[in-house]
Amino acid sequence: MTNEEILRCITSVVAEVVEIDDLRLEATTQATDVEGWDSLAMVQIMVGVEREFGIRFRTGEMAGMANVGELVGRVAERLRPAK
Amino acid sequence: MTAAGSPPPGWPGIFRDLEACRDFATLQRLCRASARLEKTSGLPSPFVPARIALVGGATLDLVAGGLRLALLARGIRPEIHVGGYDQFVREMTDAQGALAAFRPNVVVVVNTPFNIGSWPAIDAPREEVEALVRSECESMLRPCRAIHETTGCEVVLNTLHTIPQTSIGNLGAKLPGDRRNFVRRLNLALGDAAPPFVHLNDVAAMAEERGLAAFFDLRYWYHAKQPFAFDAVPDYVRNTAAIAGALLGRTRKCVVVDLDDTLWGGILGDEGVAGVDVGAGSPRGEAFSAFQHYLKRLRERGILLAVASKNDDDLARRAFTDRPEMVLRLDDFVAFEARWTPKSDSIRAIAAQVGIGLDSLVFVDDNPAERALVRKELPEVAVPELGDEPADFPAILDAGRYFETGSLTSEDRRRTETYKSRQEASDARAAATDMPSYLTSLEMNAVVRPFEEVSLPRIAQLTNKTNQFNLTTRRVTPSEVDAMAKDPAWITRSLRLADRMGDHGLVAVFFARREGRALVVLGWLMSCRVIARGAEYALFEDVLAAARGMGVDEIVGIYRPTDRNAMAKDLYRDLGFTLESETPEETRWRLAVAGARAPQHYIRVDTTSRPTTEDRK
Repeated sequence: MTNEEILRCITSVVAEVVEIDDLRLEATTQATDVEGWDSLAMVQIMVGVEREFGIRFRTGEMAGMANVGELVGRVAERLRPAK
Repeated sequence: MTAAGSPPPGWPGIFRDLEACRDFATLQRLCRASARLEKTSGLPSPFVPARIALVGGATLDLVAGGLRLALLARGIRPEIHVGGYDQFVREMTDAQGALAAFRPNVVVVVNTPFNIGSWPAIDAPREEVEALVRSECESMLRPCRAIHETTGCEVVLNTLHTIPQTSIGNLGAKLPGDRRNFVRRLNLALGDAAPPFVHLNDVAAMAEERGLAAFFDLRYWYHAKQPFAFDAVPDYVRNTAAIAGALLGRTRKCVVVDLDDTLWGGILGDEGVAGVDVGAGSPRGEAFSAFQHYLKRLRERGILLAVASKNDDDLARRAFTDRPEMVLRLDDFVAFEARWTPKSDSIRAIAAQVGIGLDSLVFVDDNPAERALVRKELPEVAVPELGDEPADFPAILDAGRYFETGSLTSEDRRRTETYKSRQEASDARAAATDMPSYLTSLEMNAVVRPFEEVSLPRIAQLTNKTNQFNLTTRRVTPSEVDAMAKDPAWITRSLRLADRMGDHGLVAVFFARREGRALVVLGWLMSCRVIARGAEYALFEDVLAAARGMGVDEIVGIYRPTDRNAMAKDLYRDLGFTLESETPEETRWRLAVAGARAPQHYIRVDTTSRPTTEDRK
């Protein structure tokens, strides 16, 4: 899966949580740039992303990310086959 | 059935999807769909309005939306008040606070194991642990009593799930101080100590059913103080709405079952009475027997059973009489419709025979086509997705939480018998030549009493379940009933009726408040199983005497029409009242006490005897 595809997927998860149909996310987008992306939304997004990609974040991992680009990177890292 | 992914067709579709919903994302989609639908086409009707407060020791926002939807699905239109994070003790004990000012009907408390104030040491002796159990139990019940005393509300309180860790391994099962062991003890203590107005939301049982790891996720607790794993929220809101629904009179009374491949394996018409699969002879037969046992237990706690089957009547009855393995017998059913007409017709006939509304029925059938037909023709009837695995039937019926109740009364346990004796009575009526001789032949005895402590649960239950002979359809909680009983401005009466066919138990409730020189009747209702017996006249006779004793000049009667209570609209005219005003919402009637007499009745009335202690059980 390319980073672009991952970003598209994440965008649709976030869009559903914050209820913005035409949401556009970019690598540099931060949570504070998106209306409704508060701490509660963060947990829901975490759950959604985990479900979407079949991965599991460590506690606090997602809240510590600087922007969407970093989130995409972490997801890509998890999806890469081990070794 | 709706195909997966297709948009749900209106409220019935949303509610059905909610019932099947097993994950949070779907729940949220349904919440959004219902919000849109509410905007475009309004709320589903009919519904009961109620003020529901959600407070607790966890984040409540993600529960509130789902809870609202689950309440709508139960026919309740909630106004919801959401408390602050971990503020519930303060909110519930503050008589001047926002929660008290909201005047909730029901307060739902989301308490969690993290609200346990102090844990025992692992090696604490039993006595010390028991003392700690008592004090922790008391600190959860104290806020419940406080808000109940301020507002008269009912309270829904969680039992606690365990936290997935133990420091001592399996030895913990023997040590009272072990944390799991402690939580189990605390749950038992809550069940023993909870007063009647506290209703336990058995979260511990839900966690057990789903598996603790799936029910609770510590990461979400650390992140956002989420009380349950996201995907467990649908379970929690459905269960909570079922409890609140029972308190507000939205619960079902009767299971209508199919026969072939529902109560036994195989088609009776093909296999014959000896050929259908039931009993210990085969695995499948055992599963069907177990389902029959489950239905029998429902019957024993007061749920009525009826049959709607496409079969020849004679053959269907013979399956019950000729097969000893049958757990259910013909006399377990209050109605038996085996015929070749559409099941929607059979179900309508059952509702009419038993005298209950379609919204009191649950239809259980293994055949998807029959389920779809009934859903389409009779949307008020609950139709669980039964599937084709008989071993799952009890759990599927259970999961629908159709038959929640806040208390169990002796009337519940006798219900099948009383419905049956009512049917015999209607047969006797057909035989009697005129009404007075028929009524005399019933040898009816009534006990009319002011509300008494032992009867409070039954009185409240009756106000919440009676829809047809109900003048104002005013629902009251046991606490409100208690308050009326203690206030001298009120005249309250309950009526128990017995006849030669059996004891019907407490079947009529009356309450009126003195306002100046008048007695205003604010509630009057009667179980439909004793309609047309003259019990209302016997009760009114005693009310007239009480009104005279109180020294009021007149009695004011109020009738508020609903789509169910047309049968009561002429009561006040029959009693000699004069119509005073009429609006779409209500008619008001007036009767001068001087010279008034109750109509003739044929019931021997006792106004002195004590109620039986049986109601206490």
